[in-house]
Amino acid sequence: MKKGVFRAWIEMRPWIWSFLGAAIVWLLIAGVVQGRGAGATLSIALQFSTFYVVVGIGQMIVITAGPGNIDLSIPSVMTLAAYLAMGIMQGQDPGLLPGIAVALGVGLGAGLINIILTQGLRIPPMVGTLAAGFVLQSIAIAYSRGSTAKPAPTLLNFAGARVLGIPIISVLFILVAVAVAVALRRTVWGRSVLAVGQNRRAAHLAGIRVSRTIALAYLLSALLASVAGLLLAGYSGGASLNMAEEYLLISIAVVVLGGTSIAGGSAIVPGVWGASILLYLIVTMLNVMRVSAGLRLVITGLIIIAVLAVAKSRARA
Amino acid sequence: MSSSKTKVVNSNNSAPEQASQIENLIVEGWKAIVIDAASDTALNGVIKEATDAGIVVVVFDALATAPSAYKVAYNYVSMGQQEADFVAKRLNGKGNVLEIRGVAGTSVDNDISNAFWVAQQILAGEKVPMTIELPLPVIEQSDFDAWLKVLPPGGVATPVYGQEWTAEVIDANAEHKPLPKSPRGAGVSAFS
Amino acid sequence: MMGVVSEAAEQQEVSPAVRAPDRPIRVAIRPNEIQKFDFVVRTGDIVGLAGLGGHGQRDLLQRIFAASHTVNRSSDIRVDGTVAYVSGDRQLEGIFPLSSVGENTTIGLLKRLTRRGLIALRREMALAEDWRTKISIRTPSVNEPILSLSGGNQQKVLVARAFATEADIVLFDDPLHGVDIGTKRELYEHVRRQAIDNGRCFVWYTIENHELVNCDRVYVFYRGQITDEIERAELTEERVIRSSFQSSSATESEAAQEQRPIAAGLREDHLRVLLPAVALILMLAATFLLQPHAMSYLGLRLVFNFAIPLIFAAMAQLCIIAASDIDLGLGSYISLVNCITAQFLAESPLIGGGLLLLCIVGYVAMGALVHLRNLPSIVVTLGASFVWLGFALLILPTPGGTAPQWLNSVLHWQPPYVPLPILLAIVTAIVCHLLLMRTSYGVVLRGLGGNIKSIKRAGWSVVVARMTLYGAAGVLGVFAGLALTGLNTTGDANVGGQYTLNSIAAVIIGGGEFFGGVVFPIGAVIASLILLLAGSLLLFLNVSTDWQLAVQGVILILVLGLRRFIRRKER
Repeated sequence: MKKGVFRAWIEMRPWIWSFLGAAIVWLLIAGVVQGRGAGATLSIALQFSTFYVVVGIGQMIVITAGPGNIDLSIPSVMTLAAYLAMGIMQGQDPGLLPGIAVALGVGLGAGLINIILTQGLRIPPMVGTLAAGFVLQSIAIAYSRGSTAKPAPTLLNFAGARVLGIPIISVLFILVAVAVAVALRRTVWGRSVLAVGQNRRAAHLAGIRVSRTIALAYLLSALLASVAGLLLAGYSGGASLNMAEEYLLISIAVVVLGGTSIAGGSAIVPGVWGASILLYLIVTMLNVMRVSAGLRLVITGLIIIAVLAVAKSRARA
Repeated sequence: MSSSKTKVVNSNNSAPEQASQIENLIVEGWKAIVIDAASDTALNGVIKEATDAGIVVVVFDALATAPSAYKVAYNYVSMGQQEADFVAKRLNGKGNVLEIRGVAGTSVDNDISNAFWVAQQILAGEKVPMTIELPLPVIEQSDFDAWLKVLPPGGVATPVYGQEWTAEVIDANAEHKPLPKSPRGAGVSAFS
Repeated sequence: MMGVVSEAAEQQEVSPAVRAPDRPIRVAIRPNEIQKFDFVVRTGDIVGLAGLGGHGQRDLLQRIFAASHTVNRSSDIRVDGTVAYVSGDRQLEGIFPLSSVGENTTIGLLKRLTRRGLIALRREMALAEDWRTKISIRTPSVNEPILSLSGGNQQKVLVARAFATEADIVLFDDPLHGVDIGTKRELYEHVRRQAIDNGRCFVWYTIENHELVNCDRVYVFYRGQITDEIERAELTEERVIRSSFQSSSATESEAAQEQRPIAAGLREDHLRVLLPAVALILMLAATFLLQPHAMSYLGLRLVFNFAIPLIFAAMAQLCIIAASDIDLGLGSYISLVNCITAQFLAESPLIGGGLLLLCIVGYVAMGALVHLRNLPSIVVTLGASFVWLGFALLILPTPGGTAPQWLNSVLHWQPPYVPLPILLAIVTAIVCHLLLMRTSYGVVLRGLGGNIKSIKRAGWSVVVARMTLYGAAGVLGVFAGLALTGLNTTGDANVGGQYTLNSIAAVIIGGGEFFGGVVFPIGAVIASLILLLAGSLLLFLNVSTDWQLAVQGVILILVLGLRRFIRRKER
């Protein structure tokens, strides 16, 4: 009887696996480095995982809106927002607020483009956001010629600041994650996204404004991507054209590994955090074990597939 | 010699992209193509096509291993060796060194003009060896002091070497003579 | 059975106020091709839509639903009041399978439950509980998942949802189909109470003629037209059945109309490939004008050389997309093939060949994994992309190796009259088209993407079909890698990356769709040529290569936007 209750408890919380995995990997790291720097590893893992989480939350909302919905423009939005923001900031504090405004403006603009393409022109999101991403990346490439601007000092400090070893941006985005989870459960829009994701036709017939609901998802994803780009460039000390290369695959991986269904309709917010930390720690562990680049990639890939295959999979509709 | 038509294309580090571009440039009928290679080896095929078509190919900065292309570069092995020696000396032979490998070379502008000029020399019929080694830039503290006075924060100082100096370098390579020293304190162009 | 009608009529309470002749109109439809009179529904009316299934009743319901959401005053249908829709196909149109009973009940009126922007959970629970008891939904609590309920009770939840919204007009789309008789009787009573007590009006489509006793008025449909209007007093089964088969002059045009979709369907297929074909021709014309050298044998060969690997990559991606999956690891796979070829195939062909075979097996295994464990291909291939790239780096940590001489010769072969890339494009297009579109197994394979049930019914193994498609993709990926190696003459672990997104773009521009098994090999080949030519055109036009990506994006948008526009025009 107890076993059934325990199993039900676990099933209710698919994000458990990612945190469990992260804990195991961290222990392995601690073992290899014999305890030295294990705490620092966790601190740095939180720092870098936060960037994954920011885009992961956006991608999660889009994926939740239903099968076929995905945002492939995330890396380009990050890059362009970073470049334009750095260009405005020019390494000076007076440029901080205008720079942030510009970055958010890029997010807003990109979100609107995605909305027009996917909801207005009804282009399949995989292609529409991909095309939008191409265009934005081109703009970033053109803008980047002769640009070596740096972030405002306040942004630089903020992006890397820590309290008791915990990065401030991590705390911030734990709160954001909580807010998103609450929104999904207790706002009309949040419930609408979940409904649309489960059964688009039924949602329409129940009176939900499907297009509007999905549109807001894409807008949020683009805004979060622009924030991620801003913070990443702030932390790294500048923007570069391939700064967000890995984020396309990572944004999808952390969503699915965290337990959110790719078919939509169910969003597992804590899982995004768990999976982000897990992925980052895997790479750290392999680095610490002095594994070559090639082997590192193979193992990372196999772990992703294994976690996916082992965790409970939802039945295909 | 300096009034020839030129065109610059960028492949953003994608080798197949660059290969396609080279094919298109062959179609356009350029006499010489100067390449900052996106891959050591993946361009060898198209480079051969270009040289087969009678085009002069000069590779600089990031090199390609194609045998028919002229190569203009620093001796990176020697450069790395000297840098490592410097660090070891400073550490007195003790301590751990973390090597972070990244994108090689930022003085691309300089290399580009060198390579263009080499290509023009070849087209004009001058005898130029297949591999041209550039002398490593030597920077002294006094150079630093001078530049720091002029540069804004975040600025980049790039020394510019003239064509006569490049001609000396080519000759030195051709005749297997020691390379001339890189000119010191040469005109600095600074960007921010 | 129809004797029941008169008994029920005697049992009806008829509140005079509710039956007042001038009570407000909720739905008014002016005479049109469906009905020759004014279709009017007033408050408290229960109007039935009868006739054989699928003869236009549902269309009417959906027109009323759509009209309630638009503000179009000039159209011939006017809806005055809020509308709720109860569907009979609860799986397709009704329930939210991952949500609870309570959530399914309240989804239509969430705005009313919010306080300061957040939904008041306790009020929501109370409301759901309330309706649970009112309609006797049999479940221990409203927090139970909806799928734990019996079919009949799930249907009750849908009705509760509609009632809970307190909409003025309730549209019933054969909602009690397959529900047990006891539940039905309870619901009939509820409907009557709602109409009499609350003035709610109902437009009720049912294919069970005996349900029509609940209606004040019945309209019978035949071939999209209303052929009869029967008041309850005159309602008999014979009359309903007779009117269900009544011919009218409109049926000839109906027959003619039925032909049109088939013709349009064919046209749409051709149009999908025609669009990229026309684009390619226009681009070739532009190229010829800009750069006459390009239109020679040598020129075309140079311009389209690198289309060869892209064409094979596009075909590989096509196989995966035909199964309604996607392959995000194709680029890394091609890099791996490139590295194996450059490192082993020249010196140790057996090892090289063996490794390539292993790669193909890997793809087949991936297909099996995706199917048997029901995993999303997007993440499995994503993980695989790391694995392929990792192995590529293990084999060639730094670029190097040499392609075997025979491969170089093949890729640099100059056939007479037609440049190699064009020749390969034509041959690949034709072969893939024949294999996938004209053989019976090809049809089966494409069915994986859209019609799995019919494949199973025909006796084909779905697992084997998927493994075949993935295996084909693996083989085509090997061809792509071989071609790339032959062109580059060496290996580099980073050369393949772009083929992932480019192959997807080629399949989609070529007319394909992500779901449904809709793919066009010929279109994909044409699209591959377009993508290469676009790059060349940009170069010839001296457009900064910074904008290369943007142009690709714009091509994608234009093609798909145009496709949507054409489809809309055909409706």
